[in-house]
Parts: sequence; structure tokens; C-alpha cells
Amino acid sequence: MIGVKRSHEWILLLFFIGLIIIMSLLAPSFLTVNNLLSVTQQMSEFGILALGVTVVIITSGIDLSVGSIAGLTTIVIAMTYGWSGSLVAAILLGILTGALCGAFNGVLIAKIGVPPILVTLGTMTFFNGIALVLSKGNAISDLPEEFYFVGQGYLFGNIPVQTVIFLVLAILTSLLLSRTPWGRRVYAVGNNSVAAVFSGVRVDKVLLYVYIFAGIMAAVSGWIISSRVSTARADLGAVYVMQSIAATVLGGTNIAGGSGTIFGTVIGVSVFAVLANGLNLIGVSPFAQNLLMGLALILVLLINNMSIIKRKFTIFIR
Amino acid sequence: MSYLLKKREFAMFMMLMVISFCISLITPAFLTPSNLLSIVMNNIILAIMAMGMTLVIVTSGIDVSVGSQLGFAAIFVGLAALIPGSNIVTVLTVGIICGIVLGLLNGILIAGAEIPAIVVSLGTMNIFRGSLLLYTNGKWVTSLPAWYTSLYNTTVMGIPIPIIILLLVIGATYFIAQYTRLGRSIYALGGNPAIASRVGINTGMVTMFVFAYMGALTGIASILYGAQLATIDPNAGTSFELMVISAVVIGGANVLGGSGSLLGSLIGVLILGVLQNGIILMRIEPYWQNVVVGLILITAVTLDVVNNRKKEERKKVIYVAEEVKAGGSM
Repeated sequence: MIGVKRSHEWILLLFFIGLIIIMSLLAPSFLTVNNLLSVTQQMSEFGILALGVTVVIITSGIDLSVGSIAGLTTIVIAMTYGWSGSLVAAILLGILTGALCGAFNGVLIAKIGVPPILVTLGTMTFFNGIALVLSKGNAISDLPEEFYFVGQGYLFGNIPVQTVIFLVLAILTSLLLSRTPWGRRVYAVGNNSVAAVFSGVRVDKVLLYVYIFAGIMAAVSGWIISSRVSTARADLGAVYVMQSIAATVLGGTNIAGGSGTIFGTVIGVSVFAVLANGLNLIGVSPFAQNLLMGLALILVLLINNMSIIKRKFTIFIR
Repeated sequence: MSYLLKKREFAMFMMLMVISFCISLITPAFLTPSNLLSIVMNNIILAIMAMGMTLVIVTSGIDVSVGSQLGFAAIFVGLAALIPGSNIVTVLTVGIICGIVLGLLNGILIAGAEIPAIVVSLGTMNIFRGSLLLYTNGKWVTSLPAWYTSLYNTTVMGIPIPIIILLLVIGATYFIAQYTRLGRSIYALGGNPAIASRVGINTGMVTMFVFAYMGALTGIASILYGAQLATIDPNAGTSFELMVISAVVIGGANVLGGSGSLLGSLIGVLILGVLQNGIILMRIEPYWQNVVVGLILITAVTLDVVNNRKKEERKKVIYVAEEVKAGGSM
């Protein structure tokens, strides 16, 4: 994996290791195999979302609509199953929906040139609206028993299925970014899209596929969420949007584009999951968890920008 | 530049008129004075906050923590109103100070540590909401005194107090944006931060000001929030930031900075308000609201980009034509 040598990820990795040590000292049940596996289970839902978000942010874009795409996917899967009785068709159509939503974002951003934050702000509301209209605002829960395997099943005894899916997707995305020409183009577009054009990169094409990729990841995430909670609802993905962006940024992806790794994002996601799980075990209220997650994000970024703060502070003193 | 902006506002105003016309054709209840007044009254909080968000977005910043700020300030305003002997001055002071502190915190992190605004406000969104829920333990503030809740319906010379507050906020923001050096610095910073700092603008101070000002307006809005609903939920204002940002963006502010007008943002607020009202009046299933709002947002921003591109191209053609006329020595 490229970029691991960069200082930011090391700082975060140290932060993460420190966090694990503190948690295992405070909560004896933290450092058990079963608990750690359940941590990985908790992180894979928004971790998969964050994989797509990372690739988008590397191109200096942003995708606020991934949560709505995940929600819409759950509705499409449930409704298709209800109407056709075929789970395979339902899931395929669900993932196709994610790809189409991503393509819709991508066309507006890449071909017409509308800023990503504006497009996805609009489509976030729009996709959510479609999901609400389709489901009439209700939760759909008549899904077959086999559907729950992805979100609630285990492989090899006690390894959660969704953890395996997350790992496989993370490795694939990492390889896609670091080992393929497409990955190099993604970084090139994020670094300097004008320079990318002059070196023969079809920027519009790269961007289009980036948003389709984010849409597909959102669909997979929605599929897993609805499988875990055994229902489909339009707002299932909404809470994860800001969390996945925060984890991506925490993981060292520059919001201005051009740099970032999946390795960093996985650590960023893990930090959030360990915080949530550890604080739960210690018995800290969920309200404080919200606060501490925000603090963790700001703290890591402050440590990261220490040199800038020092410089500004000395200027200010003078 | 201002000509272009005016054109955009005009287009959005026409859109507002067309939407209103269509709704009034379908349901006669729409075009009654009492309904129009209720649209305005129901969207005053959104409008007040949109004024601050316009300045934030003009500097190419964004603040997704305003929903949490609203809840935070509203709870403390409510607690202040419950103290015996408190009056309108107390709640106003508490609300504004709460807002300024929270907004300034964002501003200091953004300007001082050079962390992008979206990331800072993403973090503080969680911090503000988390600490508020921790403090209140999720409990609502209820049984607010009558002098406070009546604030929303009281009229002075026939004008409801919320409308007077809104007009004051619009006036103050317009004055800052249009007639002060600070206002020019705000537009300059959004247009080109490097050049702005080179011509001697203290970009850090300008950034801190717009975020603190956003906070102050959120504080004022929180007073009306509590007075309107009579009970205050610590989850108040959740995802309200998206409504505010949508209204400003529909009104033509460019998130890349440098442009955006208060009038445009007010039209944006009205478009959202009229749509919401119309969907209820027309008895359309409320689920359709997000589809319509989303489509309008997408259409507005797309048309804006397409329009601007056409204008740029025309400018280029004129430029080349003048070069040729001047002797063709390119």
C-alpha cells in the first residue's frame, strides 16, 4: 500500500494503539476475541460506505448522497423481493440502483461540471425522496430468512460475514487505487485536474466511474444494514454519511484531494468503532460517545496541523 | 458581476412565482393573506440562519454544525427563561452569547489550525450535540413561562415580533455585506484568498467573524424556536443545517466562494417554504416533498453552471473579436 510511510497515518496508528491499550485497561472484556470480532462487525457497515467516500474525496470531490443511496437500495431490494420472490434478482437490482444513482451524480459532476457538494446535496434529498415515495415512508420487513445471512451470519464459527465482505472490498479498493492505471488517474485528477487533462487523462470519465464506485459501495452497505436490522427503511443509511466522511478525513485523506489511502480509512473507521464499543463496555452514555467521537476527529487533526498552529501562535503573540 | 447575480436572483424569483402560481391554481387556500403570513412565520428561523450561512458560504466556508448550535442555544435560552425574574433581555443575551461562543470555536479551529470548514463543523456538530445531550441527559425543557412563549405571537404596531427580528437581522447583515470594509473583505476572501491576504486583509479575522456571526444569528433563531414550540427538545435542529444550506444554494450562492446574495438566499428560503406549504395544502403525500425539493436543488445548480459557461464562452468570443479588430497581433 502506498502512502503508509506518510506521517499522518503513523500518528493515527499510534493514536489507535493507545486507544486500544486504554480501552483494554478500562474494560477487561474489551480484549477478547469475540468482542474484537463484534467491533469489526460494527465497523463494516459504514466502513464500506467510507471506501467509496475515500475514492471520491481523493478526487477532491465529496458525496453526501451515499446514505440516501444506501437507504434507497434497501427499499429496492425489499420491494423487488416482494414482487419477484427472487433474492438474487432483488440484490442485483439493488446494486444496480446504487450504480445508477452514482452515475446520476457522476454525469452532473463530470459532464456538466456542477460542484460535487451541490450535486450530492440535491441528490441526497432526491434519492431519499424516491425511497420515501416507493415505501410510502414505511419500513418493509417481510424478507426471507436467507437474506439475514449477510448481516447476521458467521463464517468459520465466529467470524461475522460482513467483516469478511468489508475486508475483501477494502483490499480490492486498495489494489484498485494503488495498482491500476485507473487508481493513478484518480490521484492525478485530485492533485491537479488541469495537469491531468494535459497529460491525457479523461477527467470526466475518471470522475464518472468514481461516483459510480461510491454508489455501488453505498448499495452494498445498504444491503448489509437492512440484512442486520431485518428491515428496509428509507432512512437507514442517513446516520452513516457524516460518520464515513469523518472517518475518511481522520484516516488522512485530504479533503482538498490528491492524497489518501484505504489503509488510513480502515484505521479511521476502526478508531470510531473501538471508541463506540469500548465506551459502551465501560458504561459511558451514548451521548458522551457522540461528544468523544467529535473530539477525537478534531484532536487528531489539531495534532496533525501542529506546525501551522505553532506558526500562527507565534505570529499572534508578536 | 453584480449584474450576473441580479440575473440569477431574477430567475429564482420567477421560479418562485411560477411555483406559487401553479399551487394557487390547484388550491385556492394558498393565495390568502393568512396562509402567506403563515408561510413567512414558519420560515423565519430558516431565514435568519440563511443570512449568516450566506456570508459563511461567500467566504467559501460551510457550517454543518448550525443544527447542533440551534439545539444547544435553544436549551440554554429555555433554561434562562425558567429563571425567576428573567426577561427578554436575559434570553436574548444568553442565546446570542451561546451562539457566538460556538460559532467562534468553529472559526478559531478553521482559521487558526487551517482545518477545512466542512471537517471542523463535522466534528463540532458531534461535540455540540453530544455535550448538550450529556448535560441535559436527553431531557426536554418544558413549562416555559408565558411571557416567553407569547413572544412569538405578540405584535408591535401590528407586526409580529419574529418578523421585526427577521427584518433587523436582514438589515444588519445587508449593512455589513454592502457598506463596510468587513463586507468587502468577506467577498474578497471568497473570491481569492491568496490575493485577499496579499492586499492586507486579515483573512483569519474575517473567517472568525463570519462563523461567530453565523453563531450569533443561530442564537437569535433559537429564541424564536423555543417561543414557537413552547417545549425544547435537546435534539432540536437535527439536520436543520441541510435546510439552511439548501436554501442558500437554491438562492444562488456559490459554495466555491466569492458570490452569493442575501436577497437570493431569502428567495431560496421562500421557495422551500412555499413548496412545503403547497404540498400540505394540495394534500400530496408528504413523501413527495423530498423528491420535489431535491429536483429543484439539482435543477437550480445545474442551470447555474450551464448558464455561467455560456456567458464565459460569449465573453471569450467578444474578447477574441476585439483582439482581431485591434490588429490581430495576438
